Amino acid sequence: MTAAAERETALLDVCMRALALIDTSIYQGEAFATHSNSISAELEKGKIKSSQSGFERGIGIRVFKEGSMGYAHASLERVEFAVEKAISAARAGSPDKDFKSLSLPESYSTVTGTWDHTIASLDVATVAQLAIDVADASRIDKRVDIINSGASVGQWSGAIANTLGVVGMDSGTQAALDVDVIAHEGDASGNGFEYAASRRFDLDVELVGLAAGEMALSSMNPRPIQSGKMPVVLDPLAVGPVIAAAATVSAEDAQRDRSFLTGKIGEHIAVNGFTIVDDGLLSGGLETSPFDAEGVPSQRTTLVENGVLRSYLYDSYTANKEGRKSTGNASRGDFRQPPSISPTNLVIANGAETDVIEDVRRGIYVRATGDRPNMSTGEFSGMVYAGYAIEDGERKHALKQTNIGINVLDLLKQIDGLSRDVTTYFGLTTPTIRVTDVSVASSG
Amino acid sequence: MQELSEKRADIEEALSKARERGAQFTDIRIESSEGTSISTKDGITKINSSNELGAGIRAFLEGAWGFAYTTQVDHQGLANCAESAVSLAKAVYERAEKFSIDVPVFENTVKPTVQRLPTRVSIADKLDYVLLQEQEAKKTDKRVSSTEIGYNDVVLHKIIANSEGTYIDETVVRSIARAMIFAKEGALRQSGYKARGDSKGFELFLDGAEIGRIAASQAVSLLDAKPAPSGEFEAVLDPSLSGVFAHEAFGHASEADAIISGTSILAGKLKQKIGSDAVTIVDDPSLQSYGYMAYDDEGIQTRRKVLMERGILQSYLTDLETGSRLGLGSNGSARAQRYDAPPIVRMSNTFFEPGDYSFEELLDGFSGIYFVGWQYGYTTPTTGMLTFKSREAYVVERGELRDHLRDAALSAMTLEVLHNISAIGKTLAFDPGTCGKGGQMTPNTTGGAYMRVSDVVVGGM
Repeated sequence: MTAAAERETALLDVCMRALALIDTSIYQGEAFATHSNSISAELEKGKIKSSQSGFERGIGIRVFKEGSMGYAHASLERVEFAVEKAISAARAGSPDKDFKSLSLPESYSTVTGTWDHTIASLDVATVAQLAIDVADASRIDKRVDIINSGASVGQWSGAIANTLGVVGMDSGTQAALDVDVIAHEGDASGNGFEYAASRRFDLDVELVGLAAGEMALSSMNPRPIQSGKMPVVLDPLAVGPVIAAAATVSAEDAQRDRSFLTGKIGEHIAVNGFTIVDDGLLSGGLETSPFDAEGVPSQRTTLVENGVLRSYLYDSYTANKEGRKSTGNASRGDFRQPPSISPTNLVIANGAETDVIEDVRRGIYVRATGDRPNMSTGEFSGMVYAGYAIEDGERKHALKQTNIGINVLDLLKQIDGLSRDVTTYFGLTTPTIRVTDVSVASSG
Repeated sequence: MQELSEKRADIEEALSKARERGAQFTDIRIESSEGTSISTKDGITKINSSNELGAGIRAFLEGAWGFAYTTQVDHQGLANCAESAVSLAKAVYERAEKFSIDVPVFENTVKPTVQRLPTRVSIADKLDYVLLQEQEAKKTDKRVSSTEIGYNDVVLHKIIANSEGTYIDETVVRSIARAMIFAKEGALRQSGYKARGDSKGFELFLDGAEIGRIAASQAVSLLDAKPAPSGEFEAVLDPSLSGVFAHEAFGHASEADAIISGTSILAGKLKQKIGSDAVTIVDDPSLQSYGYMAYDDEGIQTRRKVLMERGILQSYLTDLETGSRLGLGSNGSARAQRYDAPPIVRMSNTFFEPGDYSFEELLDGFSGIYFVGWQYGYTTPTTGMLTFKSREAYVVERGELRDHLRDAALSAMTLEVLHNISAIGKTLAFDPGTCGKGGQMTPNTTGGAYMRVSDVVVGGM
């Protein structure tokens, strides 16, 4: 990765040049610069619609004056301008006595599985072929039609430095695939979709296509089921917005008393078998990096251990406020945004069950929901976007207009089954999870 | 901001370079933007200044688009970017569905008519407005526990030019402020929300614009609210929710890319009667509101589009590609989030035309659920199934408001709702919002009046 290393050094030079413009007797400052390249292709109904390439370089400057934060971003050609804007914004804002300091220099661990030479050298024709292949793979049956599919690859390099001596450089690659299909038979239709993303060029096109095709076929002829309290089995895709979102609390929300888990550190909030870890160093993880968006070393943080709430997610500001160490959870989408608290890679410990639905006499399987818990109350009330009835241990018909509702504190204590197999979606690695006594209302 | 207008020669050269390399059609969008965003959470302020310059170039070849973007907006940067776009189209066009596009040509310069250009208002004045909203929210009630006020403005200067001769020089100004207020009593927590946004400058906030107090009152009032019942009910939607229905459930289905990809419930229904006589829905980018644009991101002059008139589906939203493929022509509905994304078919200001009823007349004799405000929601495009989570709701018995409800969700099928709208109120209200599609966010307005709908499934806890 010589080319990437050269880019890192060039970006660090720009950061140092920006910091040199900041009067450190008055301000603390931080510079974050990135350089990214991406290639993608989109298909519509199995035919190429567009291909894209992007090249972007930019810098984000954070300046603090007595805790008042000013931020500005610009392209690398306008670094001086960005520094000037950030300083004037910091001067205009109000002081914050809770701000102690930006992060201090520390050594970083080496991360693995985050760079793939193959991805860095792919051309648009190869990427387009991936999108075509995944579309082909989804047509497992004559009834399945492709709506669209896409493939993308990207590589980026970044550098961060602050006026307290923090210096970090990193590069990474990523590849992603998605496919959206519909199955038709007479008046019946059903939707199917699947995504996959990896830091390496190892995406299984056949598996992604097959999953989407099977989902579309099994989603045809949805029917309501009789309402009542019953076991609900959450697919790894549904675990993210329901369980992982509920158990992953930012220290900012906790400190502002906005979370239903405020003040519950050390308490039993879930069943004994439930453990969730935030792991910024996970080999090959989508969110893996040696350091976070403030240059704090990435780490492995146990959030819930055998049912006991152990930690919130901290950045340096919220950590300083409590006189503790940051967990390295400052994150930013790109150079346009200042850092904010966000999970890295989440891992929910697996269980022992080889089949989490076999003991369910009457219940539902939730493949996807677009809803999230109300984090201030812990209430979860959501529509099953894609799901199936379970009868006598078998997955049956698709569900029509079905809602599930439960308080998340009850839900975490009513987990009664975790699968042995785990799946990774969007940075969350999780087993399939079964929960008892959830209100299910179905109609239509 | 003057610098963009001096780039015409570089643009013309990049366009001819693309033509020489084999593109059948090329367009260039250059954007220069300057903006401020301020957020304050419980008195802690964060101020973010943005300044961007970039260009996106599309090349079309026999049904395939190549798109490339760059932050190097000079003679060489634009030429390289144009070459990349053509190479991309050439690399894949053999596997594309073949079609040609028909491009109407426009040339114009559009200046904003704002009174207080945000770039000429000091950060201190903007901060004062934000802090005032925070104080007003805190003063509302002792139970207000946490406040979050956001403010954003942008002055966006664009050049949109293409190989057919279009050259649009357009400047758009937008401002928005949002309040998210939390209230707490014992272990109970609730939140309230209010936003104000328009394609205006800082004058938008000079008449008070009390978002903090309104959001705080909502949060506090919800502390006593009950969970919603579940079952099938008759419903009254407030203007926010009827506006979201016009956008989310109906509007997205009227986007022509969804018609072509076979993911719209409105495919094949043009000129058919699919809604009740009460229903007229319009998308109007030319309306001075948060989703305003005089020209779309393909340089097409925008106009008011009646999508449904008295229940009859009259029009889809089209861009150059979908308009050409469907034989309808573009009606100026192409938008891109920024220079680094290609334009796609989007809504702008989407709303129900008002009816004849007063709010009292709508509730007269009505028993069911009255829904207020939108938290979030989604629809399944291919079936039209929708789920909206309201901010608050009330049980109504024979016209009388009874229990106050929190977290009430409603779900229904879009095509059934269009038939089941029995009455629409006479006062139209608009809400600013942000719409996401294909990973691109755009500023939009939704609008509606109070509206009565039968057979809605209500879910709560």
